[in-house]
Parts: sequence; C-alpha cells; structure tokens
Amino acid sequence: MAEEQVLRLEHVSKDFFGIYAITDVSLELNKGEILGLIGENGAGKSTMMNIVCGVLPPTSGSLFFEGKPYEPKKPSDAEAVGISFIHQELNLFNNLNVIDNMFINGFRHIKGLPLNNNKEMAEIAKSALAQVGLDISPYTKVEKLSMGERQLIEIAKSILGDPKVIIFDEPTTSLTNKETEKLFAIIEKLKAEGKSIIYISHILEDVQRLTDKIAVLRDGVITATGKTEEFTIDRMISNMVGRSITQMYPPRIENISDEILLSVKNLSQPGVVKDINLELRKGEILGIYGLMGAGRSELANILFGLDEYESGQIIFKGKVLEKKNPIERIKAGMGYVTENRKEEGLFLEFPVAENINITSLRSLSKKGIVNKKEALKNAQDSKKMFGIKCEAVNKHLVKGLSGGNQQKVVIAKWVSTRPELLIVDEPTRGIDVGAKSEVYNILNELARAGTGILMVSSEMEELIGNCSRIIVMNKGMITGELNNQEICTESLLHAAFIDTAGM
Amino acid sequence: MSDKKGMKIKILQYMSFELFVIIFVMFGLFSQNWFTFSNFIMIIKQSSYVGILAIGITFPLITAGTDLSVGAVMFMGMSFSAMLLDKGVPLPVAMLVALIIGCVIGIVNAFFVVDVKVMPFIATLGTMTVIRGITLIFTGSRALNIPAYLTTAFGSGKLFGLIPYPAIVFIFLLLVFHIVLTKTAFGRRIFACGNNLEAAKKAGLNTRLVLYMAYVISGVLAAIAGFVSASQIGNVPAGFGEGYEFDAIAASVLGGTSLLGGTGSILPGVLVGAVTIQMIKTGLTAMQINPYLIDIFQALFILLAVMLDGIKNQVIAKSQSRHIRVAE
Repeated sequence: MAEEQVLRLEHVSKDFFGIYAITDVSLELNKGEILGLIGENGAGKSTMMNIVCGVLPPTSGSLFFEGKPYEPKKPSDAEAVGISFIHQELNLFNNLNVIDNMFINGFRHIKGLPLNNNKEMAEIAKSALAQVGLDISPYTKVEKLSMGERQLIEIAKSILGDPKVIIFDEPTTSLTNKETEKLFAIIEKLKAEGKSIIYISHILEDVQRLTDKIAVLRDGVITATGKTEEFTIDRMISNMVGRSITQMYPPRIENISDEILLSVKNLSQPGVVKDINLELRKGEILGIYGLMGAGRSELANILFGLDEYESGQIIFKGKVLEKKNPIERIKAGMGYVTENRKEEGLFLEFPVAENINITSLRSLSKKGIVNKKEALKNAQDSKKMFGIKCEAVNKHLVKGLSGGNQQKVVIAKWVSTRPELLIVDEPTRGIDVGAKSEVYNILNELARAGTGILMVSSEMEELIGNCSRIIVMNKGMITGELNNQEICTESLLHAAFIDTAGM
Repeated sequence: MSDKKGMKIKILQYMSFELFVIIFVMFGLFSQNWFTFSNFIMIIKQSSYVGILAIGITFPLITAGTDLSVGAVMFMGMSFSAMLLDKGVPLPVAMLVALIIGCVIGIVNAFFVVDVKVMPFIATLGTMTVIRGITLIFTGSRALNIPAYLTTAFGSGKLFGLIPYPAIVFIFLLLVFHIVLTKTAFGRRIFACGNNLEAAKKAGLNTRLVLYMAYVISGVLAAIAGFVSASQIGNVPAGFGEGYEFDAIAASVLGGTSLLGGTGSILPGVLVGAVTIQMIKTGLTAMQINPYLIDIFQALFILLAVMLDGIKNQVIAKSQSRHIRVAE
C-alpha cells in the first residue's frame, strides 16, 4: 500500500422521502492529502459532509475510517475519531474571548473545583494560536477580531483536538486576499503535518491551486474524480453543470446612450469616502472595484440614501437628491441589491411571491388594497423571466431556495419596480457557476433595455466580464478608472493597491 | 479615533456609575441625613431583595429570555412558608419548601420556553398570573403573619451591630453568582447560548440544560428574595412581590445586561443597578412628596435610566462600527 488511507466512502446513498440527495458515492481520502470537493449548490456536498460528520445517517453504503468501519451516530462521534468540520458560518461567540470559544465544550478546571483554569487554557490556546500564526492575546474578545482572524480561531480550535481530517466549507468567502493567502499557507502546513483535508469551495482557481485531488458532484452523483493536474477550470465547470459554459459572460451588445443617469460630485463623508466623482449613463454597466474595506459598499449605501454624507451632490436624472432618503430614490427609479441577501435582501420566512412583490405593493394595489391576482401574476412573471427554480411562488418559502435562486429573487424584487438605475453589490457572492452566468445574463439584458447598472464587486473577473467601465476605489477614494479597452487584471490590481499617499 | 471621541465613549461606557453618582448627589441636595453612613447602609439593606431578584433574573436575561414570574414566585414561596411556620413546621423545612417552589416554577418556565418554545415573556407572564392566583386561593387574600423572630433576629438584625443581615445575604449571593457567571463552564456557556443559540447547539453544547439552569436559578433566588423581603416587612401581604419584576429587570439592565442577550454582569452590574433603583425609591420618600406621586416618579426615573442606557449602547455600537481609514 503506497498511501495510507484515512477515510473511505463506499457506495453511499442518502434519500429524503424517496428523493435521492446523493447516490452511490464512493470516495477515498489519504493521509496528508487535500481533496477539493466542488459542485453547484444543491449538488449534495452538504449532505455528503453531514453523513461524514454524523449529522445524517446514510440510507445505504458504508464508511470506513483508517480501514475500520465507521458509523457515526452524532457529531461527537465524528469528533471522537478525529474529524473536524469548519462550517461556512463560523460557530464563534462574539461576546466571549478566545479561550472561552476554544474550550466551550470542554473547559479545563482547577483541580478539585468547578472553576475554570484560565491560566492552563491560556497556555494551550497560545500554542494553538501560534500554530495558525495568529499573534493575539487569548483573552481578546472575538468581536474585536477581523473575519480572517476569526477563521483562524476556528482552525486553532479544531486543531486542539488533534484531528486527522479537517473539512473546510467555503472558508474564504469573507476573507481579504491577504487573509486567504495566510489561510492557504496554514492548510499547506497542516497537510505537511500529515493531516487530511477536504476543501469545499466555489472558487475554482483556489481549488486548482490548493488541492491534490478533486471530486466533482452533480445532482448527488460524483461525475469526476482525479488528480488536480488533470483538471482545467473549464473541465471542472463542465463536470459541475453538465455542459460546458464556454460563455460565462454574455456577449455584450452595448446600448449606452449619451444621457447621464447618475452623477456624483465631490461626495465626502469623513471616515468613509472622500471626494467621489462619477457619472453613469443609461444602459451602462459601471463597475466599482476595491479590496475589502475600500469603501465600495459604503458608497453604495450613501448613493441609495441609507447612510448620510457631509458634502457633495448626488444628481439622479437631473435632479439633486436629498441626503438620506431611500424612499425618494425608490420612487425616482433606483433599486439596490445589497451585499448580504440573507440579512438585508430577503424575508427568509416569507414565500417567493411576497419577497418579489414587496417593493411594488403600491403599483399592485388599488385604493390601498393589494390586488392578489395581479400580485401573483407579477411574481409568476418574474419567476419565468429569471428562471427561479421553486414550486408555487406563493407557497415556497425563500429560505428553502438555493443561494443562486435567492439572489434571483432579490434582483427580481427590484426589477419589478422597473428601475432606471440598479445598484448591485456583490451580485454573485456564494452562488454557483451556473447561477452566476444566469445573473450576468439578467443584468446584461437590463442594461440593453436601458437600465443603468452600478456593479460593486470584489471579484475582478466578473467586473471585467460585464462592465464597460470600472472605477477602482482604495481607502475611500477613487484611485483609478479604466474603460473596457484598458481593463485587465493587472491594471485593476495596480489601482487597488496603489499607495494613495504617494499620489 | 480622536481623543475627544474616545472620551465620549468612555463617558458613555461608565454611564451606570455616573447615573449612580448623579442620583446619589441629587437626592442628597434635597433631603436631610442623606450623606450619612447609616443612610447608606439602609439603602444597601433595602436594595437587598430587589438585588437578589436581579441576580437571578440576570441569568435568563443573558440567554435573551426573561422571567416575569419572579415577583409571584416570591409571593408563593413565602406564603407557603408562612402557612407552614404557622402550623409549627420548623424554619429550615419551611425555607426548603419555598426553595423547592422556586425551583419547580423555574423548571416549568424553562419547559415552556425551551421545549414548548413559547416566547419567554409570554410563558413567564402566564406562570406569573397562574401562581399568584393559586397562592391567593390558599391565603384567601389575607396578609399572613410570620414569626416575630424572623424580623427581630434577621430582618432588622445586624452583624456585630453594624451590618444588617439582609445586606450580608445580598453581598454573599453577589459573590457566589459572580463566580458562577465568570469562572465556571456553565457561566461561560450561558453567554454562548445568549449570543448565538444555533451556534451553541452546533458546538455540541447541552443548550437545553443551560437554559433550564438559568430559569431555575432565577426561580430559586426569587424564593430567597421572598424571605429577605418578608423578614424586613414583618408579614406577607396579599400584594407581596407585585411589580418587583420591573425593578429587578431594571436593576439588571442598569447594570449592563442587554435585553437582547449575551451580555451582563453580577459584579459590579447588578450591585450598581439595584442600589441605584433603591436610591431612587428611598430618595423620593425622603423628599416627602405625595405618596401617589412616588410610584409614578419612581417608574419614570427607572424608565429614564434604562432608556439612557439603551441610547448609550446604540451610540457605542455606532461609533465602533466599521470605519475605513480615509487617506488624509
């Protein structure tokens, strides 16, 4: 035996009430190996990991851990054999310090007393923090830490138990580039120490770079496995979606008019943005790029009238807008797809139809009473137009949709107000390749029909693929503007990292 | 962040203490014998039962719950104790019965909140009404007498003729539950549950046990508060403990407990909060104003104090929100 096998799944299937979530999945993970697990949302990745971690029992098939049969009944069984799962939504308690978080399910006590031995735990925590390269006091409260640091705390917590397998689920979604690099270095180190890693991500470039082998899931079936060298990004995509997306980005038929839709003059708010000037024409897709903390989303909030600003002007369709008044803007024809769909964009407990109609209740009602028929029709039209995959629009709750379909609901909600300007912030965060491509198509269609779109994103690729112009922000200021002939990764990065002090 | 702004936040952060001092000085200007040691000791003594209630209620509050039944638990526990004492049952047994009543009601509250998933304020509002009603059936709305020795030996007794026993019980419980909250695994886990219950479940914590414990602590301490209060009054009137849940919640919130859960402290929190509230009560009485107005002023003062506390939290949260370093 050349390589030592740690985890093996043999013909594992799982059905929920007769519907198969995963079918006949077989997989092997060796010691000191990084396995990339990719697939669209709903492909069965979570079900598979839940089986491995003892959250769900398989319907059929068997699991082996280090060659021995492994039948976890509850999450602690998985922990006991040495499988550690780092969830996408971090399971940390912001109001507690690092020690409390790391030892929350197993505090060390002072001998003979029910009191916590903070000294001993601090020592252990310190060495675990050192292993993940985090130089902070173990008494720091988690709320004071950045998202990247919190991710590292989760890793430090998980290595306390000396696990043999660590599963990362989308660990980079809220990390800065620098923090991502640091995370990758730590994963490499863990690998060198002989730990096995399952890395789940939508960011295929990262998977290609980091992993030794890849497994692709589609509709609950493994469609491809193999060494990472054998996969190109294109192959990964075609294995994931079952067709090859040669054209991730829609061909651009530009229909930019001369009419200026939005113009921002000398907009400043201390501590947030400084001296912002920009213009957006009808039918144009204008990108705003910047690293995390550059002030992109803050600018979007100000433009939409959610946050205040100190000086400057926002002119929309030739009219100067009030300082802080989103209602005025919506009436004037602005829409805003926020960065965080679950918290700011959707009523998760409401059905699809109510989410779509919420912005257009006025036009859907007569004398203050909502016309049910029209409202239903509006939602059904949106469902058709955007290809939202759900059952009856007035029954299916939004929380039951996949990320991509949720995002379509948010966009549909604004499009049904017939906006002339749509601000979209991170329109494809956390959604899979197929849904991404659909979102791009929708946005391009809108632009072609004359809507101005302000696309805020930290993904360079999508800006390059969709925008006719890109504005780059850094430290709250505009540090560069590129039109579509000059747009390339290098020039974007240059403007984003440029030291404003030297300008 | 500029120094001026940092100063502003500092001032806001210690607002409970500042309120405490302001109220203390203010009443001193209006009433005689305010700045005396005996007055101060009296305030601590009088704040003892609200303080003990507040210690207890802080636990459900940290879990993002609440316990409106504490005043009624005081009433039920003490009424049954008084009836037993009247029949000649020895004091320790009568006390134990009161504690068991507190414990059982805590379990009932937790059952509704945790297992039936009723919103805490509705669940405990329900138990509050039911247990007060049950007790009134047994007592027939009469004021119950308690043995005189409870009042002479404990209620108005002093250790070394200096420190009143109720104050000692209060301080002892403050210390014990401060340690429980800050130094034990349970204490840390209760904060975890209040911060993010889902995450606590995922982390493998026995959240059910933690929440049950919180309500049981609240119930048992309410029963103790009943004893401390009755021994000071000298009997158990039909309206015993009525409205105390408001004082207890206010004391806890003034001491820094958030009604949204996840934050709170016993020391200095509950101590400062309970004493502030008692000062308001005593101060208004000392000013010799119309007794009907006292209740109104008292409630308004407490509301104002809690409101200021809310404003403080908002301002602090706003000033600590994400700031981009703008190039100058």
